[in-house]
Amino acid sequence: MIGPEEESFRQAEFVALLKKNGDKVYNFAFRLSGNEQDAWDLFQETLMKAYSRFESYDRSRPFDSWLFKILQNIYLDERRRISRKPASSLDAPSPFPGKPWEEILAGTDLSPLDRFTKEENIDLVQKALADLPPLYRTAVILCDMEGLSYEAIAEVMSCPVGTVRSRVHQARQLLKKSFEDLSNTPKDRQLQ
Amino acid sequence: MTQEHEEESLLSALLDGELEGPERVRLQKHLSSCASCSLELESLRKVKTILAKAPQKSMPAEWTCDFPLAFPALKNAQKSPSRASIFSQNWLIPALVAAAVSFAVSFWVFQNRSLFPLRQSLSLNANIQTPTPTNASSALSPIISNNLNQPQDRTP
Repeated sequence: MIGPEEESFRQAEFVALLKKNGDKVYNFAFRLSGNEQDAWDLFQETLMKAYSRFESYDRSRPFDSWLFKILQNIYLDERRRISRKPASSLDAPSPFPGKPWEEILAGTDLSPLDRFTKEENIDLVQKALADLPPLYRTAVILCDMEGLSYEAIAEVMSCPVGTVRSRVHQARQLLKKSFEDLSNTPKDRQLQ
Repeated sequence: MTQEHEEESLLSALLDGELEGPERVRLQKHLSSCASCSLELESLRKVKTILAKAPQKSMPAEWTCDFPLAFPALKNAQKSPSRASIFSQNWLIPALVAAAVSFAVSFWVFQNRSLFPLRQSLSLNANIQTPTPTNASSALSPIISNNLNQPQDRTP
């Protein structure tokens, strides 16, 4: 049981930490979920859970990593609940039906990738991210969009650093393929 | 990649500055002589750049203005109000005291209202002192009057 003064102090501390880290956490929610509405729900649920567990937060650790971890767990739980199957296994089936991983990962033609970059198809990034297996997506977002180190990502994802390295690399390989495919797709069909 | 090439994920680690020591030296030496690995590294760098250039989504502004107002649902996530918070209300203790006092006064008045008529009638009978042996109802009056005016000796 805590008194009202302690409660308001707790709120103030939480808000102060949120002001510093909220944008990063919301961006992570958006990139993981792929749209504003789901990001909003995910963000709210993350903050509710974080606030209810605020006593357990270790003040010596980064607040954003703590929120990332909570958010990622909520997201993965929700995906598992919806799909009723493990969606985050490293042994996950290929995201492209009929194409094995080896075939997806192959190819070194850089011109479509260059074109993708040059044409600033940044809006299509989200579509490419959405095609990734969830754990690959989480790892590459935390690494390339949130700027976390492998060690910090390993803590968020509760896995060894070597696994993070592998997931980040696999994600980039898949994204490269997706960017190339999207770049070769006519513009009117890119977002379909 | 064939076996003569380094493990692919090392390229990403190098790109992210996560490779140190002998592994880094060995990979850099390999890259200087391997065109396909150099191309692969370059393509990974472009992917990383594309992701880094993606616009950042910001948290909705209202969240940072007034915490409870912006996030009323959070209030429900908290535990039930503590006893300390209830009793810290300035008006509550005086209200409870007033309620207790009024209840006590009401109870006392109720009890005394039920006793007053009996006591009044008994006192009246004691003062009139008109014993009539033939009046059965008033035959008890002296006894009651004595009981009221004299202390009871309860010793057996």
